[in-house]
Amino acid sequence: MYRKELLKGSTDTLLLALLAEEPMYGYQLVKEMARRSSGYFRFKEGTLYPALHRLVRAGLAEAKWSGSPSGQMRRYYYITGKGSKSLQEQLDEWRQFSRAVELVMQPVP
Amino acid sequence: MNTDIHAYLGNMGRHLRLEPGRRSEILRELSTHVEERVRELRESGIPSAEATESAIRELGDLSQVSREMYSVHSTGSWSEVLLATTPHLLLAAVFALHLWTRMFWVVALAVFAGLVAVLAWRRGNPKWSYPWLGYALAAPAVTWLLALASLAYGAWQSVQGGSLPLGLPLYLGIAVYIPFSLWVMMRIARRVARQDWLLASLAALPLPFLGSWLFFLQWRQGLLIANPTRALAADADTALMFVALAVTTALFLKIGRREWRILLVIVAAPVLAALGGITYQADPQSLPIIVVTFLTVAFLLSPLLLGSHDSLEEVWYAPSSEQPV
Repeated sequence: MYRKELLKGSTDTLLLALLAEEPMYGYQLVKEMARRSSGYFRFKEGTLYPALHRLVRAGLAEAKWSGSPSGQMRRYYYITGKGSKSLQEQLDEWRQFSRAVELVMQPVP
Repeated sequence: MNTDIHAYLGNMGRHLRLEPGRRSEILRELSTHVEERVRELRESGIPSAEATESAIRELGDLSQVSREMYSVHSTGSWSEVLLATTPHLLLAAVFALHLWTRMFWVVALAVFAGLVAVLAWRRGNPKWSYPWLGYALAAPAVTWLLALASLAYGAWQSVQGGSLPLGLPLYLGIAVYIPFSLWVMMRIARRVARQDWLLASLAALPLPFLGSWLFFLQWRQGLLIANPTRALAADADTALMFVALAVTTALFLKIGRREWRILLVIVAAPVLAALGGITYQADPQSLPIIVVTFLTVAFLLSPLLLGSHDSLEEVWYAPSSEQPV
């Protein structure tokens, strides 16, 4: 439950972070997220697609249909300039937050 | 495509009350996702039926996905809110400046609303266009009511043994016009309601209030003919009511949740229509107000009956707004 809440609050940042590396389609994002987090993050489609569409509506990502090497049409998501800027801000905030959490959590010597 | 997946996503499509192009695009995206998942499961040795069942289960709660997608795509931006509230604010200005007594301004506004509605219709009915459509339909609706009243009056005169107040060819023309214009209006209303009955209600939002204004101020009190100065005195209140309609429309577009929108429509619009009645009545009586409130709720919920369920093929094969590249 706690993990679900954490993921809910970080979904946009995680998606933008992956898209900043290369354009990806929905299923690819699910697999990539699970692989990189060693299975910790498992996106349900019910969370993923509304989040991706929200990013597009907010102008943080763009979506285009294009053919994969296997010939199948897929909807690829690309990060926009506004998305890159937003990601940078979110990452800075996240680093400060996680540093603060670690400082609080570590036992006092 | 696997028929189980097709049926499952088709069922989801019926829950997605979005523009047909947007809806078919979402379904297409989800179907590519599920098909790829099924293929992977089958390649790992899972039988086809089990793989499909598993992929569909992973897709999650159908109503939750539909609700989330509706919330993402139906929430209006501020520019859409501005465009959607403009016709209400124009009407507020018309009343505040007492321009409704001048035929030129009334006709100019009706023609302008009609032009905007037609242009928006040709561009795929963006959500800001529905209030414009409502005002565009207000003029033919009033004309239709007047034609019906003229026909009824002529028939009554004829039954009483007197001569017809107008020529027979004119009455024949009116008799043809009434069902024809009703057919055209119903076709438009049905088309909008089939996409989403709630958007049809958004378009119809000002009509009960306009009806309330006509009924209480002009018909019951006859102020237009008997005391035009007193009729004009109510204009400031009427202008405020149109501003309230603009606020209701803005709230409707900014609220993403469908259930809150329904509540807004069935509460705010009847309250405004009733408030109009209370404001305009010289001799306050509760029964007409109750009748107007009840009729408003019934009228705004009536598109529910027009919005029939789409067939599976209609859900899937609506033209997509975004072409593959």
